[in-house]
Parts: sequence; C-alpha cells; structure tokens
Amino acid sequence: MKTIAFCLTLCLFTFNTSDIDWLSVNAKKKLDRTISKIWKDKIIFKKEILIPIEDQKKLGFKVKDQSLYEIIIEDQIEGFLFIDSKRSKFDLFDYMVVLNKDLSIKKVNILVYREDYGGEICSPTFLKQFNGKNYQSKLKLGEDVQGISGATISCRQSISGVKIITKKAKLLRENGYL
Amino acid sequence: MKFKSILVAIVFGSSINAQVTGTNSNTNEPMNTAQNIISGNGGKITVSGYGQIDYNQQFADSVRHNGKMDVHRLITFFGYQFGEKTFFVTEIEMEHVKELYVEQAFVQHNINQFLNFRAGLLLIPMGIVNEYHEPTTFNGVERPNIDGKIIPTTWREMGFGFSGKFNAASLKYQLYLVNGFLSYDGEGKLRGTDGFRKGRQKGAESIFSFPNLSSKIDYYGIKGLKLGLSGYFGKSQSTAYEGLNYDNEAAVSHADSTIVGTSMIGLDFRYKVKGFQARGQVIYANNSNVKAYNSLTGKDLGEEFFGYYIEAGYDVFRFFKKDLNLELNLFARYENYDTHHKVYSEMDQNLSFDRTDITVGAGLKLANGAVLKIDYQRFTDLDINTAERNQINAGVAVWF
Repeated sequence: MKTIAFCLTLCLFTFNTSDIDWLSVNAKKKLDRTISKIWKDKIIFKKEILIPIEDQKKLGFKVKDQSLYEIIIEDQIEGFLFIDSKRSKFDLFDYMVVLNKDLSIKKVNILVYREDYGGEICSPTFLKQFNGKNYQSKLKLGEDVQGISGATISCRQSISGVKIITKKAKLLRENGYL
Repeated sequence: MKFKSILVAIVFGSSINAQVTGTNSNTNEPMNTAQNIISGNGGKITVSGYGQIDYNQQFADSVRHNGKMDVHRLITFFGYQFGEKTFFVTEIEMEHVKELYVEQAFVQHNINQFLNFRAGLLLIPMGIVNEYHEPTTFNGVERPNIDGKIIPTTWREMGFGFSGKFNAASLKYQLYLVNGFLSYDGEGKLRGTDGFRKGRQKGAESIFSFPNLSSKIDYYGIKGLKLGLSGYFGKSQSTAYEGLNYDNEAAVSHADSTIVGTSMIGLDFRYKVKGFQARGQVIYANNSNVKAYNSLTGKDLGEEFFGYYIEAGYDVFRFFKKDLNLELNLFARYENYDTHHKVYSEMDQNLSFDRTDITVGAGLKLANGAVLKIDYQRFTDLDINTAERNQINAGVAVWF
C-alpha cells in the first residue's frame, strides 16, 4: 500500500511529457528533468497553447503543434515552455526555452544534439548566459553571449533560436495568447 | 546518365533542405525537417564547403621571387542523415586545383550523448587546426606551421572509435584506433624537416600492420575558454613485413628497423571574450627506434619534436561602432618548432630545423563565413647559414 502511495506521489511530481510525440524518449526525459529541477517538489502541469492557423497567419509566424505550453502549478500560470529545433552544421538539435511570467528567460536547455561538432553548446556554462534575458536583450555572440571555440555555428544558431522564441512570445502576449 | 541523375538528386535534395532549414526569420519552421528526421522518413543530404585562395610573396632578400597565386583548397562536404542516429560525412578536397583528396569519410552512430561510434577515414584530434581547419576559423592566410611540420595537418587516417560528451562536467572525449604513418615502402618516408608529413597514408590504399591510438579530451566549462589535451600513441607501418616468414630472423630484424614508435602529446587553448581572442598550443613528440630507422633508410628523423605557438588578436572595429557587423581582427602569432629537438648522440643536430616564425596580420570579416586576410611572416632558424625569409600573404577564406 505504501509503495503504491509512493509511486503515485512520484508520478504526480513528475512532469508529464509523454504526449509530445515528436520528441525522442531521451529528449522527453531531459525536458522532464529540467522542468522538475526548476520547480522542485511541486506538482507541475502543462497545458498546450494552440494558436488557430488563421491567427498564425495574422501573427506572421507559425506555432507548431506540441511546441508551446503553459506551465501550471497550483492552478497558477508560472511560466511558458517553448520547444523547437534548430540547425547546427549538418543536423538539427532540439531545445527548450522556459520563460517566466514576464517573458524573461528562466532556463534554456538542449534536449537532443545530434551531430558531433558543436555539441559543446549543451554545456550549462554556455546556456546559463541566456537566463534573465528577454526580447529586448542584445544577444550578440562574443559580446553579450560568450561562445565556445569550435562550436561557433551552433552557438550562433542557439542564440538565433532563443531570439526567435523571445520575440514570438512578445508578439503572442501583445495579441493576448500568453 | 546515372551520374547525372545522382547529381540532380543531390542538388535537388540540398535545395529542399536549404529551404526548409532557413534560419533567420520569424517564419522559419524547421520542425518539418525535424519531424522528418525523427520519424526516419527518407534521408537528408547536406552540402557545405570551404575555400582558401592565397597569394604568397616572398621579398626582401638578395634574389628576386615570383609570387605564388593559388587556389589552395576548395572543399565540398556532403552529409547524409540516415534516420535519427546515424549519419555519414565526407569532405572532398581539391588542392592546388589539380590534386584530389578525401579528407574525411566516416559513418557516425549516436548511441547516446555519452557514446557515439565512428568509423572510416577520420581526422586525428591533435592540437587545434587539424580538426578545425576551415580557413575562417584561424587567423592568418596560412595555417600555423607547427600544424604542418610537427602535426602533419590535415592528418587523417582510417580507423574507428568513440566520442561523447559529459555536459554536466563540460567535457568532451574522443578515442580512436587508427592505422599509423607509413614509414617504409621500399624506402624511408619519415624525415627530419617535417617529421611524419610524408608518412600520412590518407586512406589511399593504406597499409595496416599495427594499430595506433588517438585521443583527445576537451574542457569547455569556463566562459569563452576551451582547453584540449591530445595524445597519440603507436607505431608506424611498413611494407617490409609483407610476405615475411616468421622464422626468417634476419628479415624480421630488417623489417623491425623500418618502423618508428611514436608518442605525441598536445595541449591547446582557445579563449575568446568580447573582441579579444587568444589561442595557443604546445606539442611534444617522442620517437623510438630512430637510430635503427635512420641507419637503414639514410633518413635524418629526429628523436624528439617540440613546438608551441601563442597568438592574440583583437577586433579593432569594436572601437568604432558596436553594432557593426564587420570585424577587423588584428593579430600576432609567435611560433617556435623544432623537429630535431633531440637526436641520438651519433647524429648531427640540424639547427635549421629549430625554427621561429612570426606572423602579424589582419582579417576583415565581411560576413559570418567570409574573411579577407592579409599578413606578414618572418621565418628564421638557428642555423647561421640560413638567411631570414620574409613573406607577405593575402587571401580569401570562405566557409558555408
């Protein structure tokens, strides 16, 4: 009985990513871990924000299915989760950006990095540099964000990805979606 | 006909790819390709390339020198993605317009982030430039000379191995088993002036008689800094073993004299913060069986090689306008390398192999991946009979 109760509690505490079909199992695990680490010991729910196609056209950009979520804790929206892919030299990497309620960046993480070169961007030292930035922040490589030698293309691409997400978030907020 | 249709497929494939994976607008939607890869639907070709076009002019001594204008390197990369975890990369090089080489050709399979398997024609991870030799990634028209005379850049051999990352610790490792240098194919290949350079087998019907181990660890946990520790250990390969009877002691002993054992260690760093950048490396190599090898082949290979360089640069356009997309990197590099750092007692140390090069120059970055370069180089060595050489270089470097 105790074990069942324990398992139940564990399930509740674990952020559920099983419905994000396009992510690999490992990517889901990493996403789960990242979210659970941000809000420790909290029961975290996510709710997908769906933008109708017509509205996407008006906004001027696409928001794919299973790429934008509200993070809900104790019935309150605590932030937003964006999941996207971006290109490194030869391949795509999947990454997540967690935004605070004020749309500043809480956390950026790389979920899957596929090719060998440039994988250094998965380093926490590099990714931490995005924390607290928002759509107004300058994110020039070598200036505001220090790159990693041998991973310049991937550094640049991750910056570009983060920029796109903060800008999308701002436009979505202005139009009442976030 | 078949070739034509393959070509069409490649061009068509790459153009689709470029369209889908466009990067810099709010409207891009790389998800399509991602889903395509993840679901493993169909393959994916990537095309990439780099080029280095140089002008070298020696000057300021008692004789006239013609300049050299050279399409030094033109390279095409083809990458092909087989589903989620497996891809194939080739790097095909045209050197000096007329020489064709394959610089990389390997399959990589990603088992997980800690462990990737790779097999084929691999770059040996030693120092900085051998692995990152795209001309827009280094200062100066020409690659540093240590990455030529001691590390025989572009050093690539056949083999297999593993690589992986430990993100939490900001560590990356590479570990490969490869075939070694060819030291003997009827005559000696390794020599004093540039050590192993003539012994590279480059995957062209390589001879394999003894596996060599190549490894590197990179640390990137400090902002702007990357540190590398490389090691290469093994023995050279020799045709003298082919068809040898195990009982023929004289022949085995002869063959044993045609190989050289090598241990090479390299330490490197790259640091870049704001407009300032610095990099450097130290390389040390120790060769065994050199006396027997030189006696048999008549070569002048040294027992120890040692070299280092240090380079610093600054983007001076930062003074003028912060948001300018152009960069003008002024840099200076000091190199010292000696392929006769140590020789055995009966051998004369050739002082002209103890060289010091100074390079100062500028690189104007027109766009990410396109740089105009100009520099001045002074070459000296410890031999009093060698005249100092002066050279200016100018060139175009692109990478896309």
